Amino acid sequence: MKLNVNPNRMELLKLKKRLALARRGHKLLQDKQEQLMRNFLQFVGRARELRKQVQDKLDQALRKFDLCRLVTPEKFLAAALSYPKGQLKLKVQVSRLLNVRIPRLELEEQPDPFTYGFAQTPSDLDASLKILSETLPLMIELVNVEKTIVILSEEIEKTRRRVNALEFVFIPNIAETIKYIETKLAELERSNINRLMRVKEIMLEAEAR
Amino acid sequence: MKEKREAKRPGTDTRYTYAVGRIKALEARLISPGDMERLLDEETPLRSGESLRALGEFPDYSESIAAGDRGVEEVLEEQLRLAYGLLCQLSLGSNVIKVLRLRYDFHNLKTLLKARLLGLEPQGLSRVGFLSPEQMNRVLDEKTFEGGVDPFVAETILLALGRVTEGVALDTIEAIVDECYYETLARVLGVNPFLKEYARKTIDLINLRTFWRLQVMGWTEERLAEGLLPGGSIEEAFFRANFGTPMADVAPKVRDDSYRKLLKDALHAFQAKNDLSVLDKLMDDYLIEFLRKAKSYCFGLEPLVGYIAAKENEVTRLRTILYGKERSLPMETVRELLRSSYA
Amino acid sequence: MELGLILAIAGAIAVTTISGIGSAIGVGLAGQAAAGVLSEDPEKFGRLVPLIGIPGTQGFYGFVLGFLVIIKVNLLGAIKSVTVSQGWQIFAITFIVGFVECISAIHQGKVAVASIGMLAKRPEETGKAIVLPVFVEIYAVIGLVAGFLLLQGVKV
Repeated sequence: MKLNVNPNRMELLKLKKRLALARRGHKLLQDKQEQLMRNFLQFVGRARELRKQVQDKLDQALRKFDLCRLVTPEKFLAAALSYPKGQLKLKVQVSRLLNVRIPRLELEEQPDPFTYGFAQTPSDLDASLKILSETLPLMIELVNVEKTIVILSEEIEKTRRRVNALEFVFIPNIAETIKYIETKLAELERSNINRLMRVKEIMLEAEAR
Repeated sequence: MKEKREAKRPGTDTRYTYAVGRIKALEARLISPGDMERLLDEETPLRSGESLRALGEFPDYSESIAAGDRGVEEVLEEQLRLAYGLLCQLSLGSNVIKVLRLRYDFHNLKTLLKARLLGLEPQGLSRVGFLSPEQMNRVLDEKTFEGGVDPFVAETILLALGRVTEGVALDTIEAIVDECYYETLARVLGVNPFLKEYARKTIDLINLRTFWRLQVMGWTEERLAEGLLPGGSIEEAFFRANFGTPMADVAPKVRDDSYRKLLKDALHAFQAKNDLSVLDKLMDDYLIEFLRKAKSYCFGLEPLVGYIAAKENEVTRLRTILYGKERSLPMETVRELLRSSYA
Repeated sequence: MELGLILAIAGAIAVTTISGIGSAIGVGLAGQAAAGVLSEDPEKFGRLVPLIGIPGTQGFYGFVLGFLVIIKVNLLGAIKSVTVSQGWQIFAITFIVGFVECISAIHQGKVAVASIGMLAKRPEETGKAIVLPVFVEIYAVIGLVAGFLLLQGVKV
């Protein structure tokens, strides 16, 4: 679809400049998209690996916990687990990847869950809690990676839309308009020449008379 | 005072003859191993409502279920509460039964102390003990007891409270309260050789387990000093000297044959699956096996202690089976951890 | 009253009271245990009654022996004269038998308690539970018979 512009040389020049710019932008955006895609795939791989690790750890911890729960009253376990020492502290940082802002959680302080006595708690509670404590950093890393994936996928989507818009709408439109203006100008040229030739003919006729 | 009056020889104190008669009748009502096996063998996994129904098939439990809107855990707790209440009456105020029930009061005590230190809402308070959680909370506020609380109970709780000084670290509260409890247990059960032996074995096994747990987790010796209970036959020096040595090498050094055998079996299971839960099971079974002798006594407190252990054993077995079914755990795991029956 | 007669009467009193005390203790034990069982399971009353009663027999045997002494010296009619040595003989026999009855009653009480416990757990074994205290009973009976024969030997 051609743009609604006056077919003159000024516009033609302007459009040609815009076309060059759009082509360059298109190429840049394409590069960016590729780069994002590459990062995205990397993160997806990492997320899959982390998720598997976390899942394995949680399965282990849960199995140990079940062993405890099989023989210990719910209340005794609740009392043993409800009072960890220290607090869970997280820090939020923002990093940039290809000019995309990505938030990042960092574990600053992890509570110590081992505040219960040994005399009346089941033995496998220790292992269960230890595994869970080890899982927490992994889970936070997983959160980071998965959030990154979400943000990257949005960014990729946006970039792709831009690339497509440039490639299939903007650039063809400008090209078409340029062509239109050029034909229009050529036509003008021809009619001008015609007119001049006609003028010349008239002048020659007048001279002959 | 009263402790001195208990007969020195096990199974001879005729003051508890009525109680023993009643206990024998009650023991007949414990869930038989066959019924337990049937419950375990039912193929289908249970959802939460269904476990309650399964529990309702046992007469004593169905009464507890009918008495109120309760879950499985509450019913089991109610059963223990009733058993302890009855036994405290039957034992004519003997401290031996009281000290066993005090375990639940001490559980509440340490839980409340920890919750207070952190300023959190207390979780997991038990209703089996002498004092309700609310009463215990008031005791912590006022450091005195209302009328009607048994003097022995009050005295022991105050003893423990006195040990928990201001500014004590969160992770040592339980160790302090537990230590106070087992000290009292050893003292009170010291009335005759049988009960004394029971207390000693309990403490020994807990100490061995604590030692092992610390080793497995790679914790420091500092925690060992905190966690070990006094009153056992294995010296603290033994644990200290062997701290850091793998359990497989420590086990043969334990002097008592029966402990050695227990540790060997537990080591075997631990090496196969890395689970310490089997040790817990073997310990419980060992103590139940020891108390089984009390069954043959017709006089004295021993059968009463035996009954309480039997009831706890029954409740634990039910919990294992029902929880295992609710969570659809593999049957072999459930069977592996199922305590052997006292009944 | 001569010393011989006093000794004989003292013997009669001794055997009755000592075995009575023993039976009281025995029945007391069995009764307590039975009450414990009955408070949970009142339907067992019928089966428990013999077990409660069985340690009571010794008291009865003691009374029988005491009565034999009374008849021997004819306390209720024309009192026979008893020499000091005869008096000592009667006293020794009765005292020792009383002792046997007493001890056997207490132990029978304990066995009865054990049997009651057994009955509480396995009601189907009632027969066996009742047989056990009977073994103790044998010795009480032997004591009585021996006492009776010995008394016959003492010629008043």
